[in-house]
Amino acid sequence: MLRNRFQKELETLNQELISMAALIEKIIGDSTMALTRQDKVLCERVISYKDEVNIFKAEIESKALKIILMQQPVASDLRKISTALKMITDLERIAGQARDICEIVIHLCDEDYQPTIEILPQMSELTRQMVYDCVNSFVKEDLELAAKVIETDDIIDSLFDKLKKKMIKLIKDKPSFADQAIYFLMVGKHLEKIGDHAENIAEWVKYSKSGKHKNIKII
Amino acid sequence: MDNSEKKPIIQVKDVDLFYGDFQALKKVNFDIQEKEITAFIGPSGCGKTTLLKCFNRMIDLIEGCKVHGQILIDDIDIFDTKKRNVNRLRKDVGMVFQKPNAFPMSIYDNIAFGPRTHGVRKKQHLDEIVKDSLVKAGLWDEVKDKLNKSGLNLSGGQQQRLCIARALAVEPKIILMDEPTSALDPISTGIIEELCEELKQHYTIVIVTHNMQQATRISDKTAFFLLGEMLEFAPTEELFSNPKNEKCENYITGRFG
Repeated sequence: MLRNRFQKELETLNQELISMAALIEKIIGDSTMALTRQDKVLCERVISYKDEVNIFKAEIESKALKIILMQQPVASDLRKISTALKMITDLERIAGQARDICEIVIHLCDEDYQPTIEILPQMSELTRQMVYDCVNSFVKEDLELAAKVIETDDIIDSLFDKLKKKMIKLIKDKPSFADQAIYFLMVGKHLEKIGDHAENIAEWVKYSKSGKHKNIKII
Repeated sequence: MDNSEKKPIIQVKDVDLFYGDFQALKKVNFDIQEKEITAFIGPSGCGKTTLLKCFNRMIDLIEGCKVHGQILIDDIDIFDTKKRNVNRLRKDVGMVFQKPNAFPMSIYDNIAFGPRTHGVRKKQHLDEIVKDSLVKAGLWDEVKDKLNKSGLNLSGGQQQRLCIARALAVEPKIILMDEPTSALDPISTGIIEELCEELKQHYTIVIVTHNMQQATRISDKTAFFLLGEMLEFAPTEELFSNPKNEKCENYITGRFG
């Protein structure tokens, strides 16, 4: 394998992943801002990012597949390329979850929020950081950072549990706000799924370094 | 791969090999299982062909070459001249070389050469051996109507299969292959690789290759050599996906070599 050329191609791939991750972070941040500010325009902007995300995904896919075709990587190189391919699927799905959040928020823009929603921005900020960290852990081959992402998912899960209990109580106490409670619960579920996707990425980053995925040898 | 019924057919124990003062193999230890394909990889001069040539004692032909340690084939030390006759050894351990080396004689005689040397005289028996060997080497259909034509008229890929058929004609247990496809086009290479898969049902194959994709495609286990040492020996998928040895990783990913 022509090592220098391979290194260059890998660096370009890393740069594109960082750029894609930055876009995804922005999408998560914007979707939550749209929720707190009840901003319909911002919702529509988040939804419109779909094409940009798909272009990033297609470009990275194309680069990774070309590397496989031309360099026929093995060992850690093969693990790195396959991890990049797995990552972009999760990143694309994260963007999809953020879009789904905005589609819900559009229904809520003209309503007065009854429940306080401080848990949702908290979950959003954590997931945004998870996305940043998991892509960074890949680029820097930093297993501690990947482990941190996996741990953060537990915090997200417990916040979602808290949200769930709060919303159930609201439905019981003030049934007229049941629809809002359900919408917020759905937003929380989407954020929780974003956490799961970031955790998936972190697991693949661990594979990329160790050759084991969730402690199981794939090859 | 089920290894439960397989046993080591070749056992390499503490093998050191010297060409004069130069040490070409250093304390090599490992077992090769029967009816498996084992690939030797490593940069030029790492000792892989040297070890291959030990298995049929072709190494004896090199002046000033000394071997310490043991190589057991079927539990018998091949260097123990009281227990192992070298002619018998070379019947059991056939070899195919980098460049096809068909003899300048007919296709039939190329195959019959070995059996005749080992005393087979009956025409009918020789006919059977020739056909059987050519069938096993995947060449029968292509040459059955021109068995009396010179082997040298065949294409490179066909000549290499003729050499494999010639090796099979003396009923070996082990076939050594020293870069058997490096002089062949991709189609002929593919045919030989598929043939190896089929031959594995009945024979043990040890192949030296510089083509790592080939090792990945056809071998069950791979041994990585560097400067006379065997640094890693593992199931091929494992070695090429998650090598334990850093130098092996660096070699297969193209960081050196």
